[in-house]
Amino acid sequence: MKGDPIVGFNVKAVKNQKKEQFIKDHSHLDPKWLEKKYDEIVGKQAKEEK
Amino acid sequence: MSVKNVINCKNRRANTGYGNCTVDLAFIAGFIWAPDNYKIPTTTVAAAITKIQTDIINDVFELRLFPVPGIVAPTDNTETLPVVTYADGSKAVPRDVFFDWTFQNGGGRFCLNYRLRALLNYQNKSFFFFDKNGVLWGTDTGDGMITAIKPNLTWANVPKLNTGAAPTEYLFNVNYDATLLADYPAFIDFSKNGGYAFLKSLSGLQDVDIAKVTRAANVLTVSAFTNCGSSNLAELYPTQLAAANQWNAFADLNGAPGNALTITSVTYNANSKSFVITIDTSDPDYVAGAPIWVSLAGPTETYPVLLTGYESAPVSIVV
Repeated sequence: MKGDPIVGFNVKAVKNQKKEQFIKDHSHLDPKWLEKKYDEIVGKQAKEEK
Repeated sequence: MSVKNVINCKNRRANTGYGNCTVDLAFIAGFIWAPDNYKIPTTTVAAAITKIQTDIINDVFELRLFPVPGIVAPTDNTETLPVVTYADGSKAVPRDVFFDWTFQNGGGRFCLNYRLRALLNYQNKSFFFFDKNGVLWGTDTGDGMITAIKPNLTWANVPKLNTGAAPTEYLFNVNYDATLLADYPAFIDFSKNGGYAFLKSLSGLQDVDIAKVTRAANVLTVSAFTNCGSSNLAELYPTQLAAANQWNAFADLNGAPGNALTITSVTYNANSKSFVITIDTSDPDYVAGAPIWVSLAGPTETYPVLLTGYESAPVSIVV
């Protein structure tokens, strides 16, 4: 897939998931991209909570 | 003072003078199908507008308004006033008439007619009418609000054939006690708040059909087309609908939607022009392999994002 896919995440739900489960659940998306995305979402979430 | 045996003979006394500005029941250009006994506040025009706009996209079907603008030809089939003549030659009017109106709709065509015929099965059948002067008409039930008129008869006719000389006619009939409007009128003049243009712009929700494209475990790919016109929402709103809060998912409960399931993400699939919905497998209501029901979120969720009203029924997506 060229460029980032158009995806809207449920941030609250993602935050409650382990990275492994998040990647496994999204079997239709590139795992490397998902890994980055997960870190971004969870990191962002953690930052917002501070 | 007791009200026993007191008749209010003067409750409708009136004089016949009028000023330069008079109200007129102008060309009826549309109507709003409303729940029975539905009321619009009249404190301000703004309050009335808010009430109307809110209930057009009400998530609860039974509380929703269904606007039908675009009437191109109203016809008055109201009966002749019944008059009896006595043996001595004097006459009397035994009762007043019922309005009998037929509206030919110029917009929506077969699609709208099909939906109006479907709504005939709906128990709530009350109406506001609006005219080209930007006035919304209902009846006055004495509570300071404008109340929808409940007809005696409501009918959406089968299409009248295109003859080659005239296009297909889609006719809608209402028959109601004329006194509700003629003697107990309640109206709101919107002329300083968009007037006829505002009323004509009111648009009902569009039905959307959700269908399975593929499903692999917790990953469901679905299409979303308007039932009328087959517009693909994936092409119209690829980014807006690629959002978890724009969709609903439910676990299956005996062949019907049960508890809500958590949607982790929604992806736009540009190849199949569809949406990929990912269900959170850690949701306690998620059962691997079981059917999952999917729909768009309610109109109050989708309207602020899409700026057009849509609604879809939940559809079972099986593996």
